[in-house]
Amino acid sequence: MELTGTERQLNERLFEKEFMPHLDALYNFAYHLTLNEEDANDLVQDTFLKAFRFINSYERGTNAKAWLFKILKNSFINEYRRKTRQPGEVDFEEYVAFQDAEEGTGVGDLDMRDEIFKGLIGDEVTQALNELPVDFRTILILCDIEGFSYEEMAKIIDIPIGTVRSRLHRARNLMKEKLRDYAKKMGYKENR
Amino acid sequence: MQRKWGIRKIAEVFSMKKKTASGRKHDCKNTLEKVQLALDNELTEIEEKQLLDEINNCSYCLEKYEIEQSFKKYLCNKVKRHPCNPQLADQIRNSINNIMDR
Ligand SMILES: [Zn+2]
Repeated sequence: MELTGTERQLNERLFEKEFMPHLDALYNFAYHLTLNEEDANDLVQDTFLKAFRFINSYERGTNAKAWLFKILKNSFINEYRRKTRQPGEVDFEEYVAFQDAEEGTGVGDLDMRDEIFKGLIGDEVTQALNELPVDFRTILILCDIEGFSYEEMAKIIDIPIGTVRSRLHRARNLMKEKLRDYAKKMGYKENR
Repeated sequence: MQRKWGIRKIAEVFSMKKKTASGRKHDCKNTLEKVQLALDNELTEIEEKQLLDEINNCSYCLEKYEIEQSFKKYLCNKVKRHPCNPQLADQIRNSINNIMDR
């Protein structure tokens, strides 16, 4: 990169001020996508290097976090997804048909205020999340852990807002099913 | 005969639950579709207020709303960010200095 001293200093400051504060969130996202620390480290490094290379296409004052998440998500799809794809993992589209058939099983009534759910520890809930197909855990992390808006998520994942809504709905139902299965192992009985 | 009565009874109980304070039946399905939007902060302030007014007048919708709300809170509280290696930040800074010095 041919930069003057001042340009270099300005870029470094922008990088530290606007990008680096999102390191923890990006790493967490990378970890939930790849499900291993080594790949997550590589993916995050790669994301920051790309962000720095394209720093001139970042508009100052816009949402840096969403911009970085989008770079990370694209890198994952292009370079890591094939490598880290787990045996037996199904595509989102394959899941839709299954899920539509399952709609109305009443899992929506599962009440997390029930003592048995309060008793599940964070690791168990995180494990349940990681067992979801990657598109579903992605949308839950973006929405419920990172607090992105539907519009931001649509841009990050590159899908229409309507799909964000329906995917979220399905992801939540699937997550409830997983949690219900965990709870059942601990003796939870459904009163239905 | 016995069975028929049972179904009718259930239907009655169900529709009673869905009556609003003013006595008219509530369009719960339409309202519940907006619950996810409200909990995800996707409604305007006015829309949210309207929705909450409706929900507070229908015990069935209120129960569903509280269940969904508790689920969202549950995920926020239970799922912790996976901690990042403390050296990662410096590794990133080093790689960037390397690109710039090339
Ligand atoms: Zn209602």
